[in-house]
Amino acid sequence: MNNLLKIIIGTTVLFFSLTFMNNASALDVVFSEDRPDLRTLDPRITQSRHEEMLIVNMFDQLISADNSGNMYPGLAKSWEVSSDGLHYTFNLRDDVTFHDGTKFNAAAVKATFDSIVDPETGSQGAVDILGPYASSDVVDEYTVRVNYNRRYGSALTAFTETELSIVSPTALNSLGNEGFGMAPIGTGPFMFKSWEANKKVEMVKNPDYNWAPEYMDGSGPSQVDNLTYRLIKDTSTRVAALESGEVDIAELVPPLDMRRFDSSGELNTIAGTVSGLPYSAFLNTSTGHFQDIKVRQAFFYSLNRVKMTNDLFFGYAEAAFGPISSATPSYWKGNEDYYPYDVAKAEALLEEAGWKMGSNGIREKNGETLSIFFPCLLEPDTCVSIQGYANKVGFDVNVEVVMKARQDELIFANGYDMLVIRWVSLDPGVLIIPFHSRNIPAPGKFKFNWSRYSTPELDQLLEDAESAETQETKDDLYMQIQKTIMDQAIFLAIHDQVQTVAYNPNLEGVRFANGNWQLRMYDVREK
Amino acid sequence: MNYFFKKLIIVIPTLYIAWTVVFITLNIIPGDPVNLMLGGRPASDEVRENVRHNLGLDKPVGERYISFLINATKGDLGKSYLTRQPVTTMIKDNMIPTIQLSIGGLIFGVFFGVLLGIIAGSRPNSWGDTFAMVVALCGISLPSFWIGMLLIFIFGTTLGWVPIVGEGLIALILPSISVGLFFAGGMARLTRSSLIDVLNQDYIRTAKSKGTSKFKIIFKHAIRNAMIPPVTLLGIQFGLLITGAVITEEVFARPGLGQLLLQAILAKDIPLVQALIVYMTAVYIFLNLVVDFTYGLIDPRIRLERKVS
Amino acid sequence: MFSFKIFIKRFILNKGSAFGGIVLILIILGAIFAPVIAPYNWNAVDSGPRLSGPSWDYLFGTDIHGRDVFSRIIYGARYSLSVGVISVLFGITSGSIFGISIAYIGGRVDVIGSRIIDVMFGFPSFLLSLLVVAIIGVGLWNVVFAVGLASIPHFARIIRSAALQVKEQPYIEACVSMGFGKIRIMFNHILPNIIPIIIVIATMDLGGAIISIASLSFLGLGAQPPEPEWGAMLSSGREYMRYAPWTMIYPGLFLFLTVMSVNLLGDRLSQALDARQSMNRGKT
Repeated sequence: MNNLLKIIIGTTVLFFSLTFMNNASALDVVFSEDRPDLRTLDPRITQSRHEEMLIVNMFDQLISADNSGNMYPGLAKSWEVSSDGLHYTFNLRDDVTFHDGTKFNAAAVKATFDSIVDPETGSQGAVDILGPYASSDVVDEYTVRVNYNRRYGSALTAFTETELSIVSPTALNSLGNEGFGMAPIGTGPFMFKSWEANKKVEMVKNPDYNWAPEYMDGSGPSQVDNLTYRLIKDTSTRVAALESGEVDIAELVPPLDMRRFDSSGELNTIAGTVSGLPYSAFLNTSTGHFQDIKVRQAFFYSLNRVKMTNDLFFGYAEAAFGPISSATPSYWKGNEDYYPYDVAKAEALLEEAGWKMGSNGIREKNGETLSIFFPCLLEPDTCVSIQGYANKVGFDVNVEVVMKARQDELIFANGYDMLVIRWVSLDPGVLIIPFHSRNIPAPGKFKFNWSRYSTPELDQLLEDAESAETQETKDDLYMQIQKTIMDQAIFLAIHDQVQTVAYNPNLEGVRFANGNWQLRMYDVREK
Repeated sequence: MNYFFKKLIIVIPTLYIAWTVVFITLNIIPGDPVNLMLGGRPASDEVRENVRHNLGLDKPVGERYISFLINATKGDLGKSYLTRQPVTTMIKDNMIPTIQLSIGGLIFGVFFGVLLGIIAGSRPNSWGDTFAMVVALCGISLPSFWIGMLLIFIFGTTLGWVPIVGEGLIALILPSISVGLFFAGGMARLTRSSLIDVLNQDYIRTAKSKGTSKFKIIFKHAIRNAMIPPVTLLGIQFGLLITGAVITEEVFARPGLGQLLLQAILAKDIPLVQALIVYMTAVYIFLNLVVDFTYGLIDPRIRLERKVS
Repeated sequence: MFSFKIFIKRFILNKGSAFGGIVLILIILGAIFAPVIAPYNWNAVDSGPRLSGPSWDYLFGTDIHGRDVFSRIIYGARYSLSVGVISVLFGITSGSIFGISIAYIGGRVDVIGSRIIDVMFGFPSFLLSLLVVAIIGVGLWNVVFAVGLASIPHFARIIRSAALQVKEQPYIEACVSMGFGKIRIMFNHILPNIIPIIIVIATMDLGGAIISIASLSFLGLGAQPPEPEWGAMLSSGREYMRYAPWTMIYPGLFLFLTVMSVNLLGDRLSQALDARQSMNRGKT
């Protein structure tokens, strides 16, 4: 064969192989959402773990954490904390640009954080995570100093959270808060392209991306050219789309399907145990029968959490015991000694509290039945399990499967006996959100202390822990906080949150973001 | 002409009265719309006043009612609480899949139903008749969500013949059957009884005695008159198609107005619920008007006679 | 007029209604004697191994909570039948009172009343039920009320037509001239003549009511857990359809059988009582 022919054949082969490689660079992901649609893609405003699923790929943080919680330089090359814990100085990278071409610098950081605490922005998540923020100073173009009102122990962890990603101030000015939420501009490995309401969000790779954190395999722009997120709320449809090959990656895959994929190998799976608050039940101490601590404790003793979790999750989730998950720093092992499954104990407590078993299996006292109203927003099957166990010792639990709007209504009106919640967080500091008395909801004021428990002692512990100076003090204070919560029987963990993901076996590089819920797509590539 | 004109005149007040009912019912719902609009976000009193003003809630009820009617006529019904998009945009975005589903259901229902009706009516009391009527009975007795799930289970999950996700014509087959089966049942029964009535008429007997083939009798002579009662059924059945849309879109996880309405109700997104019901009511009334007109056109007796109500 | 012999021949001895009647009676008996027939407590979690298939111990298998599907289906008959009946009773009672009154009183009251009916007809009845649920909230009894309410215009229209016809009869005029009060005439004289029609349309509508209530429960707006209402059971069975199809098949099957037998009976009843008496045949 002469040389010219060889060159022609070689080029053709190369051309075709490149084509196939290029075809593989479009990644389709399906995700779910509890509400009718995503509300915003603005990290400063978001309160939804589903919105963050998309946001995490378009933005970067000052400090970048891998999914084990280890911190690496992100947009900041290095940082120092003042000895009084009130000032955090970040030395920023000077080679970063936003998707709109503008420079990332200290002014952008200041603008981002200032806007988060501005009530006009309407931040729900970021404002709590940022903590007792006072101001930021632009020391020079690439040095920013963040100032706090008081010592805030969770600050460094906070700066790794998606909600504190840095946004483009230029875009904020030109688009306004609402517009920015619909077409966000960040510094991340993917750029926003389009949003088809209730259907999908499309992103393209950021060709200038050169600042991937160390724990990533790649550097430079992502190998994924086009990233599409399709919204499919129905679980079986989501799984069907994955199995038929219409999408490459699916989140929130049911445990039975995960089990099937694992045994057949037709799809790869990863499951992440999420840090933060496990799936747990709040008991309302301000009204109804749960005002009596004996009744609360009896309720907890009646639940067989280990069996419930195994039965519903087929090994993909574990029972949980404390207000924060065991994966969260400052977790107190003593949580695990509380409220083991003990029907006799539960019944004894109820008898002591004056609740006598009625003829139909429901307890009565002074002509009233022991009825509990349980609006259930998350995991109806778990709620039914809880209902079943409590029923055996004489509780009449009325479950109503609700959407967020109805639950919000009930929260404002204090019209519930118990609620369930779960929360993704990297730091025990999250406990102040559901347990401080200033976070008790009121009409017009939506906060998360749904057990409405309020004592100066717990408030003080939470505030002190937030500004603890040493790790030991912090651990000790959070231990006391957890002990109080468990002693008072106001909050019981049921099972760890788990994110179940299945994906195309030809792919690798799918990794969890910090917290083990969202997925970072930057590293994804064909095997 | 009188007939058509009368029908048209009645439609407009009916529409406005229906819209009034919508306004009244949705505005007596307890719960603060401002909270819903804010999505439970914390907000200062100033921000809340702003939102209240933007929603027009600081105006007296009478004024809001009038603006509601005007806006409904114009087709502008505000913004959804949840997505903050104009509700008209949301309706437009979700209209097409529902229309596709409705047409699919209609086509299946009409063809299958009329076919069954003809099989049954042309040979009353035969095995064919019994079989067709049993099928029709099943059609009106089967819950559409069950048959939808069964179809998915058999043809999608087990046999794999039909894709479970996706848009396009193939994905429309199972949902159309699901929606149209009830309609087919009703059509079949009515076509049968009407065909039997027509076939007993004198002019048909004349044709028979002249030796015209049975086939020709049915399709050339009988059908036009036999179809009159089924056509009247169409109007009422549009309501069923809307019902079917809500349930079938849920079962097949298809986007559309039905699914949007359900989500809006659960999310207490009042502007969206309002807009959807206003829109669907208007469509329903309009379609019934078209059916009435058609009825008047194909059966001259109706438009010339005075209606006995 | 009405002949009992013909009624027996057409209705009771007919194959279709015999079949429908037997099925329905079986289901009704099942509902009444549920505590005796059901092998397990319908709410007892872990009665058996979870998601296990039909077997001698668990005739229809078990669901994700280990509850016996057969027991839940039997008890579910109580829910699905009674709510259907109550909803229709509510609709037909209100519709009758309204329809007879405006027909008899006539004049402007009739015109306004008819317009009201027409307006309510402007809404597809399912949409009306959804609207009612949107206002009053979710729950099985709310749905029963909503479906019943939405059926009123349909009943009212038919009964009004029937009442108008009866009103023209000579003996009604005789009652008037004898000085009977309006209410007495309406309910002691007009109503009894309409009873056959009322029974027919109530039966014909019962199937639709059962399906509507089950549909709304399926959508999450009706029965709440752990009530073993068949529509709600279908909804929860959906998630495990691939792994435990029996949790989806049986609730739907029984809904189908119940509605089918009710429809069969309704059909035969209406034929037996002479079709000419029921107005607007074919309109739902």
